[in-house]
Amino acid sequence: MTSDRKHSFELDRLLTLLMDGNINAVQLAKLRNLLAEDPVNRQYYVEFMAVCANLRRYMAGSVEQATSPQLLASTNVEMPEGSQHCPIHPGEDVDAEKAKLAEPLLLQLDSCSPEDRLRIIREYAEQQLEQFLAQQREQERRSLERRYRQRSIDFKTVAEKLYRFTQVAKRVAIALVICSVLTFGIVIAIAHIRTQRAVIATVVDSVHAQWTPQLQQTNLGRGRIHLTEGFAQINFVSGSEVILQAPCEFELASQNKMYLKRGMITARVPKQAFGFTVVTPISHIVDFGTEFGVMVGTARESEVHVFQGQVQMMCSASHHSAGRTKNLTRGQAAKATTVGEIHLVNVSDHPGLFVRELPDRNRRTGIPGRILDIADIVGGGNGFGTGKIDQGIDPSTGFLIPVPSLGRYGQTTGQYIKLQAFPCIDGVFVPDRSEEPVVISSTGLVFDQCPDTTGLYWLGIHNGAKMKTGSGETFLGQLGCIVYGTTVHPAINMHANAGITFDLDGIRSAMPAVQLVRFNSLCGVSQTTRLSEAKADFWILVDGVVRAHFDELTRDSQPAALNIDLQDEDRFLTLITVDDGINNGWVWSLFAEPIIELKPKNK
Amino acid sequence: MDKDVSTNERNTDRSSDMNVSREFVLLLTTNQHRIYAYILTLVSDWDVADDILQDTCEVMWSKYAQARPIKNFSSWAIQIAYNKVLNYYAKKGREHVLFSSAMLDDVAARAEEVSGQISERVHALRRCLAKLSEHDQRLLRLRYEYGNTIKDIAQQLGRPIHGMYKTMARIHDALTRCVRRLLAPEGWL
Repeated sequence: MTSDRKHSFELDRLLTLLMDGNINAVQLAKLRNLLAEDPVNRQYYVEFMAVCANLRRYMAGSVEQATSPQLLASTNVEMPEGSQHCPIHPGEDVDAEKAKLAEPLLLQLDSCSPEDRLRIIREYAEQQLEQFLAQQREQERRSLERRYRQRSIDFKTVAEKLYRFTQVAKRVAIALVICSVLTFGIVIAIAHIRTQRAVIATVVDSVHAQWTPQLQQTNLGRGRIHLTEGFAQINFVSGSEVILQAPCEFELASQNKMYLKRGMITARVPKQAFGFTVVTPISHIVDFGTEFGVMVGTARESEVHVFQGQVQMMCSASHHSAGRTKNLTRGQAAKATTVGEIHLVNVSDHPGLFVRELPDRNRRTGIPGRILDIADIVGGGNGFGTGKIDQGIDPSTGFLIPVPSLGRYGQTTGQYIKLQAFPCIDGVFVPDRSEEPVVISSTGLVFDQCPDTTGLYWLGIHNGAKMKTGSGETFLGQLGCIVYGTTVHPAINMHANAGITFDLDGIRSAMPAVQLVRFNSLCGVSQTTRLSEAKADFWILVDGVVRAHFDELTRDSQPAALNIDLQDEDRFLTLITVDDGINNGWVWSLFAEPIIELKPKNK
Repeated sequence: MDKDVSTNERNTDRSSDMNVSREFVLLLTTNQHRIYAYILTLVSDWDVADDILQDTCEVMWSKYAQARPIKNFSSWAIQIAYNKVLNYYAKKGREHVLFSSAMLDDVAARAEEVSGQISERVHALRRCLAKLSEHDQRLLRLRYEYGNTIKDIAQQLGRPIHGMYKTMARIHDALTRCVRRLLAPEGWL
């Protein structure tokens, strides 16, 4: 046996326990004996510890790469005073450290013009420098306090020296930080050229997908990719499957790691690919064999929802180790903020936020980045096919109704019902002009022009166009000879009298990277209604202002087309259908293919 | 005239202080990891090593101006660090630490020698890491990059804790022996 194999397996095990802080008194005594009895073991111990120290130096830092101490480490500038952990100097590994440091900037630097690149680098350097200076001021203050309390030395001299030293360090930091950031841009460019050709993942399926730049092949290597519309599924070589929902800007880093700058993804990671990591601008999400969704908004905040298994979320924007990591299990969700905090969020606030399977490719509505299907939202979905067909909402109570049934009817209570379970729907109501004004939003907006109605309502407000009578007969809603209420031809079925108000801000926060451009739909009374004299009025309001109004449509009327432009400041979109105040029977109103056109938000 | 002389003296002082500070920063950053590895070896506790390094840095800075020029900065730093470790041992009590006095001296001598090769060891470690399986590399990332304890990793992966300790022991052993092999031809051992 050679000398380097003389140490026992027991020694390895005890050292591993020791460095994990999990060694007990008996084990410690045993380790002490092993080290005392044999100098070979002591030599092995010393080398083992050097490996541990170097592993920490070599591998740590990428998580906290965006924080100033790491930036300083890479620029060879360190203050001796008061540093919480006296960051480890990278020595001859400067290039590697800089390459790691550059990770969050990769997404920004890749496709920028030279002017923008310089601007981003300068802003980044300034931001890092500002963090560094703030930290130094705090450290200086702490250090001074401690010295005054604990040390019997010349306080004044030390304080003055500290101050002068800080001034020097600031100047050195400015120069080195800027040089460093410029240098690692070059390092990264070279590294990219080397690794770009290696296949990391493959596009295995897509629905209405549009890419920038246009994909030339399904095999993907390193490089920034922007899915501007639709869905796509990519499978990593490691086995992880990721569904992308547009607009989505990302970069594949390795067989088990990706950067998500903006957008939404759902990842399904098999056991053998554990450790799959999604890096966002301010967080790391590490998987342990599971399924989860990640959303990154324009404000750089990231949110993770766990569907199966367990993930760990780390907020890299935090300067504090405590509380910046959260382990999440099935059914939990959390948001990492730009101030370095992680908050648990309620998953039920965003039901169906993430698409977990690619939707039907025949759908013409509900295309991420282009068309939002608001009938799908009524069905509890995210507007892209996760809602349930035929599910509805009772307009007088706000309760969910699984399937439409004409046996369900009632009289208005005059109340506006705020919906808690639907982040994109503000509320529902039964419109009828009475002594009280008709409230159409949770903020108290009023529909002054509401006509007198019977005050009755039938059915609920449904994602679909199925009508079921009290006797059990089923009819399918139809306008212009097209049958609605399917995934291909979605509709909102609203038997008069009913009103629903969508929260456009709720939609924007669920899809932070897009702009809401226009509301389009057809509206009319279903041609399949039994009563030819059944009449309905349709009203469409934006923030309480009437934007469209159609009187006395019947089953024989042409469907009316709605094209309503939306502005960024618009908050509420309200759809209302009412009867003529005399007859409420068989007034089956439909909003057919109700969609909101989307476009990517300007950066 | 007196005022000008006074101003010039102050400027000269300031310039001199800046040079001292700059010199200290560069020396410290060049040697900091070596000092850290040395301390960690003697105390075998991450948090304690962090604290002692911080205290060592403070002492070094407070004494640097008087002590310069220093012929061997790293030896000077390691001597200060060693004194800090002795203080720690004295406070902690012998029964709660790993080494007796005699053993500590022996280990300290070995640690000083090994930490003197720290750059070569980091370089060798990088080559050794590349030889590990993807699975083992991922475990190390979870341990060192993301700061999980081995117990946490085992729980998160749903694997037996005892087995995960064995796996980690095997990986560390492989790395230690690999680094030793790579450095041996260079005459470091």
